[in-house]
Amino acid sequence: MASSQRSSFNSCTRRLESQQNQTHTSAVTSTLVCQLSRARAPTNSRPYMLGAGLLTYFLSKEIYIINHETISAACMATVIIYSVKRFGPDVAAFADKLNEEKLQKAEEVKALAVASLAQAIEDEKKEQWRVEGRHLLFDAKRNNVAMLLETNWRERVHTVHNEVKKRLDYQIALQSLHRRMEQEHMVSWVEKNVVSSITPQQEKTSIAKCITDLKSLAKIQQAKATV
Amino acid sequence: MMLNFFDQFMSPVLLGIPLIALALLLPWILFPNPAARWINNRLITLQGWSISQATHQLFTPLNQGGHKWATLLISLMIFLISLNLLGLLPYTFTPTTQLSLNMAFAVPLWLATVIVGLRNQPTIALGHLLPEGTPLPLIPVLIIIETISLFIRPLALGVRLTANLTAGHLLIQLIATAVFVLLPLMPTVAILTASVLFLLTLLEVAVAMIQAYVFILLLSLYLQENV
Repeated sequence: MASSQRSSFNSCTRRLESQQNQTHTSAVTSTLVCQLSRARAPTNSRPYMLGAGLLTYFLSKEIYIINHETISAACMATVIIYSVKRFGPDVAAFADKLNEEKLQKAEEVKALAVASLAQAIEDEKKEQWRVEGRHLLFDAKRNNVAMLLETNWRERVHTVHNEVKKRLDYQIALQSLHRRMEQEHMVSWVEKNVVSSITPQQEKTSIAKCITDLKSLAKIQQAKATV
Repeated sequence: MMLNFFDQFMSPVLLGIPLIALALLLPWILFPNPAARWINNRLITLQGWSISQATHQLFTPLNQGGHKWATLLISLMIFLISLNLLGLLPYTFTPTTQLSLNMAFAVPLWLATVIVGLRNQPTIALGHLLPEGTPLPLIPVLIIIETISLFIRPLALGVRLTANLTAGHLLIQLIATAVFVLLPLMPTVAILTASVLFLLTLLEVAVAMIQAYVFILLLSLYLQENV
């Protein structure tokens, strides 16, 4: 029926199909009949009709009498309607805000829990990544330990080398000392024996020979100097 | 039927059924029970927020013993506010315009505070009868005055509520009648009077809420002295 609810008068200028073939239809009555048989206004006017009708009935039959209470009722109605229209949206928004705050608190708790869990996930992922790099750490530590061992071994070898060298040097020094002492002892023994074996006669002849040698040398030297 | 401005304060009876019971029960259906949900609709959210604000406001100055009275006093405040506001609508009966009802609220609650004070801390409760720093010759007179002031409290509580609401309703009726009578005679004056009526309606809405709050506030103050 909705599609047929048209109230324009112009739609009735097209007569009803049943009337179009009639020869003796009056224009006035046919329009009237057309209008009456179609649906009326788009807005539902039934409640307004009931209200207006009831009001008229009550007033005309003096079931409701207009008196001072009507005036005060009109005043009260003005106050109520004005306050509802003016403060209604604000009050509704306030009530919605109260509910929103309640929801917000719960949402905060939820968001906090979700955030902490997401952070836990991130931390776990980082730990797993760290675990992957663990072998590098172990290699580095192994190398470190190996280097330490090597260094330690080399130090000890060096120490051993030095100690052995010291002992060998000592032995060499000892031997050389021995030899030198033997040598000195022999030399002093020979000297002592030679000195002790020099008789005074030999001593005189040797000194006389030395003097003649020296004189001859001096002559030779003089001769060289004059040449 | 003579127009009697005090007919509105007569306890309504229909066919022998006292309708005041209905008038007293009506506020109960206006406040929905909070559903077993975490986030409620706007009405229940606002209701819960306003009740918690009022409770916090009224009971922060009180100590732990006074907090036991919170349910009673806050539910009484909601009851009184709704009764007062509903009474501003036309053709409604306001139960709180009846002195009997207000005294029935005021006297037992005031008496309860006094008895609680005298049972638990009699010295301090009696000590309230003499303000600090009074000169010696004035002490007897002042004790008598303070006792009178103590006993006038329930009367003041009840009559304050009754008088404010009754006066407000009467004023609204009077000025609305003035507007109604002047409307055919002098429309301009009627419109000015209608603006006065509009302002008065706003005042009455405020007074309705404030008087209920003051009732409970004074009871909490009396409680604060005694608990």
